[in-house]
Amino acid sequence: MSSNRLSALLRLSAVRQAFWLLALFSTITLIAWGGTYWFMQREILRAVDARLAARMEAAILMMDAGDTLPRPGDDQTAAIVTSAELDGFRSLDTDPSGPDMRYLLRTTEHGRVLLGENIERQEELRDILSVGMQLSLLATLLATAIAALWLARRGQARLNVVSAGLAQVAEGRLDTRITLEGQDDLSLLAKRINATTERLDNAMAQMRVQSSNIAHDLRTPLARLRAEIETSLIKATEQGRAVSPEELGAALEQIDRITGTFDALLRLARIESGAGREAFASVDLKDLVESVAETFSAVVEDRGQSLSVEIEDAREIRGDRDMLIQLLANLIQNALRHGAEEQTITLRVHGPQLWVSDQGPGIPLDERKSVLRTLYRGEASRQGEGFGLGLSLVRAIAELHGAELTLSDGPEGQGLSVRLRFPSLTEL
Amino acid sequence: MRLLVLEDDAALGPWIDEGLRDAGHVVDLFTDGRDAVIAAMGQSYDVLVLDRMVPGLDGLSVLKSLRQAKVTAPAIFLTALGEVDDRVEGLRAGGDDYLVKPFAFSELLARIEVLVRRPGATEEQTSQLSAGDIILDLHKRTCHRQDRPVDLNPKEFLLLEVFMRSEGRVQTRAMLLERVWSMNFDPTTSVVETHISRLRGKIEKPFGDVLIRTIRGSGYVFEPT
Repeated sequence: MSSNRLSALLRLSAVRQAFWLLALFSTITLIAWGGTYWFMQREILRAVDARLAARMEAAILMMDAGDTLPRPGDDQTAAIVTSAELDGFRSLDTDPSGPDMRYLLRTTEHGRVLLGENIERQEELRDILSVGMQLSLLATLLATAIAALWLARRGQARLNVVSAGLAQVAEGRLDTRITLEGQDDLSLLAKRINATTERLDNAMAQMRVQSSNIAHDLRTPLARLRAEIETSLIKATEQGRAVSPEELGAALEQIDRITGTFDALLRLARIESGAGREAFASVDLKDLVESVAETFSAVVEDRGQSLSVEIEDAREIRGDRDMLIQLLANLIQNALRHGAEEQTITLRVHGPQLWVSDQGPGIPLDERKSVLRTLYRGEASRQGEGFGLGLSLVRAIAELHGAELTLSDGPEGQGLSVRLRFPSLTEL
Repeated sequence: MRLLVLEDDAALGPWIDEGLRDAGHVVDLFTDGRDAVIAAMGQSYDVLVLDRMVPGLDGLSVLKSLRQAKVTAPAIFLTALGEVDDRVEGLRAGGDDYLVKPFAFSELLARIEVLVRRPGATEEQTSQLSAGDIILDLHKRTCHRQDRPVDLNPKEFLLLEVFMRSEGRVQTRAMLLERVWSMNFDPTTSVVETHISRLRGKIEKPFGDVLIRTIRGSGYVFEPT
């Protein structure tokens, strides 16, 4: 492994973690091993020393009684010596290959008594144990290091997948999704990142569609405005005719349409930013629908259509009355535009649900999803009439209220029914 | 009326100034907030028309300092900021009304007139309104023209009431939406037009004359004969 690759490996956070753990583990094991060695050594000497002391007492008693120094057993020595050394225990390891001895020297009335005991067997036992521990330490360290590296590499590989995915998102490829097997925190993170990216993707797509809708909504009145002013100007300059109040009024109307589009845009932006939720109050769906019907029935009737209201078990919901009126106004506007001639537009309330149905051609089942997607995800490139700001506002207001928006057949299997299901007060 | 206008835009300021003078008011136009404060301290104005964003001192701060100095003249803000929060902020600073640019001049004029009427405008506790040959009974909710009863639904009645209370003054669509339907937004459907056309069908058509005149691009005026 080149030093470059090694340093690259060492920079990986998982590998670093593994090394830290390894170091900690080794330290603990070394301390445990050293402690055990020291403890065993002490115990061996204590037992031998206790035996030597007992033998010394017995020997002195026997010599006091007039006997000679008792004969030593196997692996033991006993002698009367002349020595310059002080009384006490000492270990003697004169010959590395010879037996290790432990001695006790004591000065008695009968001379200086030196008792010895061979402790080679105990020391061998101790050494075997020690070697065993060293071997196991080594093996453990090796195994741990391999395992740590493997885990680190695996973790790092998973992290790299996430990191690479994010890098792609940063480059603007918002359709990137991170696929990560498993059920750990990293895969949860990946899921969260995916959800965020998807939301971002949708928002961007929506913005693109909205921008083109806005451009469309603005171009038409701007074109008319231009045409009207140009016509008046030509008449004024070439034919010497004064500009009429009608012409100017018509121009003003186009400007008002443009202003109206800007107002709707600002409102949409505001609603989408989630503002206004703090001003929510309880709104009775019955009151709401009745007052909307009172305001708009004349408009509907003027188009040769009628507006009917069905209310059953109406609930109170939390919301902004003004916004909800606007939502209904836009849905009625949509029904007027796309419904059949002489149709009945129905406003229906049942519990926390609200329907606006028309008797027009409706939307085929397989297209409904794409219409909703147009609203929610902005996938359509189609410049559909009526899928402009009005319905975007409906969607935004529904979202702000936590209401679920669905499309279905009208009440008698024909026409389109837009349903809004508000969260009931207890769900909030 | 004596009006103070604070507007630094080189085209919009003189336009407002001229329009208000044409409407018969005395106008002092300022382009700097500090000058406007000094003027309003020394001179009493009937209405203050303040742009939100001007050099020196912005409209909001101008009104705040004037309110602290106990200048109580009603104030209307002009702004390019259309957000509801800005509106709330303006009203909290002591503003009485709020007009978002671009606006129709008739709208500005109408709103100024409403503001001046407001102090004494404990909308006369009369039970009856009359204009020309129309009599509106506010208690019984009935309407008579030339002593013939006219059947109006509640919104039509309210619409006529609003018109009769502001006889001869332009009512813009936005003002009607606010006052009759309490809507602060344009529902894009032709709510105002439809109701006015229905009202006309009831109070004009049978009598063969015109009471509510449409001013294209700005609004409606109620002019009883």
